[in-house]
Amino acid sequence: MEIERISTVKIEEVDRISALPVLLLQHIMSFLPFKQVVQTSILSKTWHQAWHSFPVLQFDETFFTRDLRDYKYIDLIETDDDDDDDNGNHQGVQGGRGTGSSRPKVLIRDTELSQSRIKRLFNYVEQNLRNRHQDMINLKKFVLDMDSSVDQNFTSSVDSCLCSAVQSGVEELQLKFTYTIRKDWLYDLPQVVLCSKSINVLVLGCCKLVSPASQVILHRLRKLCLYRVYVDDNVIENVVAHCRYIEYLSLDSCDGFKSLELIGHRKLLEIKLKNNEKLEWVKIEAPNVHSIYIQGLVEIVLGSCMNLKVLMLSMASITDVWLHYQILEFPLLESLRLFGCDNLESVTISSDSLNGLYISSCKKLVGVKIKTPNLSKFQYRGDLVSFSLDALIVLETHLEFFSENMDTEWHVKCVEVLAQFHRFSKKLNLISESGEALIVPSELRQILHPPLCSAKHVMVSITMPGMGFVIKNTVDALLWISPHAETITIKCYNYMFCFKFSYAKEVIYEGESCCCCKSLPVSCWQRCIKEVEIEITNSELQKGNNLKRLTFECEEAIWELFDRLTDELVF
Amino acid sequence: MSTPSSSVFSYRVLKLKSSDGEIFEVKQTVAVQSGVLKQMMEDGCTEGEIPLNNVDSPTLAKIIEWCNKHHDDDVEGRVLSQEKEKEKEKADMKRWESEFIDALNRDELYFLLIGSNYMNIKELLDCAAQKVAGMVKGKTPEAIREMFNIQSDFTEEEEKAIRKENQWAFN
Repeated sequence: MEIERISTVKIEEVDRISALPVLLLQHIMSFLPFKQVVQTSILSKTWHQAWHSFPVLQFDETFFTRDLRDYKYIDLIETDDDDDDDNGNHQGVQGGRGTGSSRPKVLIRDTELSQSRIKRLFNYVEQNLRNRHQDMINLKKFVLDMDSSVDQNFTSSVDSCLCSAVQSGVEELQLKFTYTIRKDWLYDLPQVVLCSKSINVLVLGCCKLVSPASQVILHRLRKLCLYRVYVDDNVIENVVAHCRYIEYLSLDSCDGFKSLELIGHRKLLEIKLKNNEKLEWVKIEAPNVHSIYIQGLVEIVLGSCMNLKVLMLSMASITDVWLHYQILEFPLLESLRLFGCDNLESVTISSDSLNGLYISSCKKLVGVKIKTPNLSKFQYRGDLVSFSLDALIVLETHLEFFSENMDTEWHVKCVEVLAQFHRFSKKLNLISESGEALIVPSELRQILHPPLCSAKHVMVSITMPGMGFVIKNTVDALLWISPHAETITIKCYNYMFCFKFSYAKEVIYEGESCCCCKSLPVSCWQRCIKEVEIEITNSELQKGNNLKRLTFECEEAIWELFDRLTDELVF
Repeated sequence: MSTPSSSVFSYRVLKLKSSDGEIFEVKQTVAVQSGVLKQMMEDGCTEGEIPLNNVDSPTLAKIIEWCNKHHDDDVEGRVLSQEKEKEKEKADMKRWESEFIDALNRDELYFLLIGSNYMNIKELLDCAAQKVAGMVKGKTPEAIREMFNIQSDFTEEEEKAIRKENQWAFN
């Protein structure tokens, strides 16, 4: 195609876009929401042609969603008399739409209307698939997300859609049914899909994958995601044996298979196994895998995964010894996350490569020994344990300690641990659900040394402030934990309170004459504070619109302000 | 370095000739971003002027500007140790890209689409296509027609029939 610039014609007057080759038009269309792609079909014949051969058909959950046309009004008296009306009709909105008539009417969902609407929609999908097959267009992507009203009556329609898509050489196939608690019916995926030689991405939700004699041949499969799919061991074995190019595997809340053995898949990069009810045993030996996430009580065997960078284990039944030796086998491990691993008691984590460590809610844990010279971020959530942090400088630490019984002894220990982290971490963020764990009892404040003595900036996150949360008490407690801090920032939902303090006198230690401070190791803040500046920001509001800046100079006003703040904010 | 005769990349600079006859000299390391030119280099047929019949000189100048910006001379020599540095560089590039695309008028955008498609420069093609998609997104068919001056060549009945057939998308 030769192109010339017609300089005499004004830009806006020429329809340049429609002059683009169809493939380019389709490339532009591929960046639009699917519904709008369909809408472009009425622009002109060129656009209609571009839609007609568009290689992507993407019917998401809004496509089948029930609408008002499924409902009809009927007389209330009639329904009362109608005894055999129990074929799935659901009572809908109560409607007193009697126009002049005294008979009350009810809006009910009509199964027949609903089924015929869905049937029409399926015909539409099938027609579009047929058109493309006839025009020998290779489908890049076919997505079908079903509403809960698509039931076993539509099995043959779904079958026919899938067959058509596979015949058109579909590369990416997504098929999702809606999850219902009643598991009386699961769509059985036709064998033709499992034998496809073109599919490279397969995403399935709430259906059934069982393989009889015929084999799974998905040679080109790169990505497999199953969510709430019943899949038997036979299929899993077949997938593992034949899909040698698989890069990404995710099995979430699936049922049926008991074991999974992935050995020597050189392309495999990422594995996610989550909440698979019957899964008992997993063995992974993939030289290039960089991320493994396993959730559930599964026996885990990790062979040589030399390139593993991210390991996440949740509610896994791993032991201290397993963890210790396993980590040594991953020379490139960067991130380790342990959540709810209740068999762990005293763990030693030593790794030269690790830079992120996250330990949360491991109930039996009593000790954590960390030997990781390159750790930059550490997060811990759970009861107090003893930490050994030799030769460690962490850039960022997030700590959330809690216990059912936060007595005096607990607080003493907590202060000790905070002081320990203060030495090893450049930035410390304290997290507490209600703020309670951070409030050291006043009798302890008299005898203990504040843990974050030299900290200039303190960051606190309150994740679930209850009725008992009083910002005044929290600030007061924090000013003990970190006396003479320059800023204290409290994050609470969308709010961020930033308190900037300036002090009248230099930091004063023992021996100061003021009466209230005599018995304390460090003078209390009330006496020497000169000015407080409070900045309140709300991240949900637009910038510039959410700032409240208040400055107070004398002690009484500060307390008054704190009281008001607490009253104003109802969480 | 290998001797010129043995290397497939024997010519350090390519001479690109636009549809209106202007010659542009481009370094091979830059030109490699074009799938078409890359193939030609590998086939060893980049001697002399390479005619690009589908790309005029203003468009070719734009395309070369893009390629120069996106080409990294010393990828191996430079050490980007910090994650943040990499991210910043990425963000800067994104900003540059959107400024580059936003500065074009409709005509320039159109020729750039044609040119980048012809020369097979995927990133530039995607960027330009996304720009057009962004202009279309969320607009009604009527508004799109008006914006691009698209004349409907359907009869009223034909349009009605297409609307009916694809009814779900017009609700």
